[in-house]
Amino acid sequence: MDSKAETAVAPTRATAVAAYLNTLHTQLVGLPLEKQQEVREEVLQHIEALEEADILLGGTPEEAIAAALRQFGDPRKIGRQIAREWQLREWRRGGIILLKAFVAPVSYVGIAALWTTVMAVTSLMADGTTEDYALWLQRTYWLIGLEACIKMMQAAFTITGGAAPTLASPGYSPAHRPIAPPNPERRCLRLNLASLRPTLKTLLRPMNWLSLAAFSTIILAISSSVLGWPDEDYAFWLYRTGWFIGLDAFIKWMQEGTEPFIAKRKAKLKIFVERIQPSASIISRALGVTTKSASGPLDETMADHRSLPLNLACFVFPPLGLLSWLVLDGRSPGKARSAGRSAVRGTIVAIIACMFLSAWFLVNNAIFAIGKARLQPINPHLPMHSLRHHRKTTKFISLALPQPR
Amino acid sequence: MERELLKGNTPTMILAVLCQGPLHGYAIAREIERRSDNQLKFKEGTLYPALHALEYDGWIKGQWETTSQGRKRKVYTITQAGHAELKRRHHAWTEFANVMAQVIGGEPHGQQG
Repeated sequence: MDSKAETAVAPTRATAVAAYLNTLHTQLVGLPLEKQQEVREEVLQHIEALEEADILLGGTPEEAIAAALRQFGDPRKIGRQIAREWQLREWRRGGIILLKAFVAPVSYVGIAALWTTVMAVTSLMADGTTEDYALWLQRTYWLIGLEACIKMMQAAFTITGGAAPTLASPGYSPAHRPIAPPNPERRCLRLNLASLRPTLKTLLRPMNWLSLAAFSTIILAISSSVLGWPDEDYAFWLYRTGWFIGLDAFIKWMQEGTEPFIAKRKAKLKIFVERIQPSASIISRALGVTTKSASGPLDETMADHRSLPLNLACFVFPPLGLLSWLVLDGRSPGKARSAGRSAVRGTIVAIIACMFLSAWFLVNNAIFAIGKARLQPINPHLPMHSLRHHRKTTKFISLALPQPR
Repeated sequence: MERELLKGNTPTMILAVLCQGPLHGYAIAREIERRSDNQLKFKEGTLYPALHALEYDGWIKGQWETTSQGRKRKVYTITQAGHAELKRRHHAWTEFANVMAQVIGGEPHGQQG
């Protein structure tokens, strides 16, 4: 009778260990599931090793397991310490990520401010008036500041939701799902910043933003030309659009991480390529690119050489390089690589050309402004602003001036 | 031995022990005991918060291995950064111990005279 009662009351080895591990496990709040399992497994191995050592020294199995658990320590305290160490580091990491998220938009504001100042100064040199540009400058800074604030908030929420889980509830996402809370009675208020993630932003894909921005820019550019709006407003709008696109892409990149983002885009492009495969084959044949035929494998000796027409086309129109790479990779790797390299070179040349043109434009404006400052109007009563803006007009006036004797 | 003193220096001891070669948690505990001539007595579970913190910081690297008995064990190895950190901690500890020895004197108070 007594022995029966003892068997019923005394926990078996397995239940004792399981109870110990469960107690420890419940404290591991905030750790990823895999990490929790890893800690559990590691502790189990350690306890088993302690148990074996005790048995080797002559202890009974019951005594050995009790001694091992005692030797290992209080499971609550150990679990809590592991979780605390982990969360401390996650906080630190989250803080660094958040700092980066705030620094990046601030740097954008810095670049924007610099660029605005350059534009304002050059405009001032060209026009000689200050009121309009002071207003314009103020408006620009205000808009940029407002946008930067919005973007910063979005970035902060996004990053908090995606990369720094401990800043929000410890375990809102599937990867950080909590186990049973240690004490359900002691629930504290936890901020779930993940719920504040911008849903509209998630719905509107960056490519849609890009298309919308490009479309609006074109419409505005055309309407500006037709209506004769001042050039600087159009340039300002273009510049702001570019800034928007850059920030959106940056946030999207942070939301998804670079690799999944690229993989997703590549997969989408592959689907697109598969759809246009017949056309691509025709184009490939026209460009002198041999693809693998259905009848047999590719004869590499004759096929995998770079194609000059294709490379030239990729150099002039770099997106074609990406398309060629997707179509040809795996069939003619040499051709694909060569086309890709040409596209990269084309892109670099285009960027350098754009930079050179921008610099030329700025220098030209400055020279023009300095030259104009020396001119005198034919009619002293004629206001100065009637002479500005147009180089031809200025030249004409310059020629019309009385020559010195 | 003072508990708080021991707790604060557990990561340094782990790094020092792992300097000799890769070890799992149980072996680390035994090695610390052996090196201290069984003077350092601590609950072995307290090693794990320190181990995981060191792993998170990149000073040690854990890898699961299967023993000849078919048992899985997580073996820790010190990294290059860990070696540098151990050097720094060693230097700091030596400096601190020297200063403490200067302040409190070389011998216990009761044995003087």
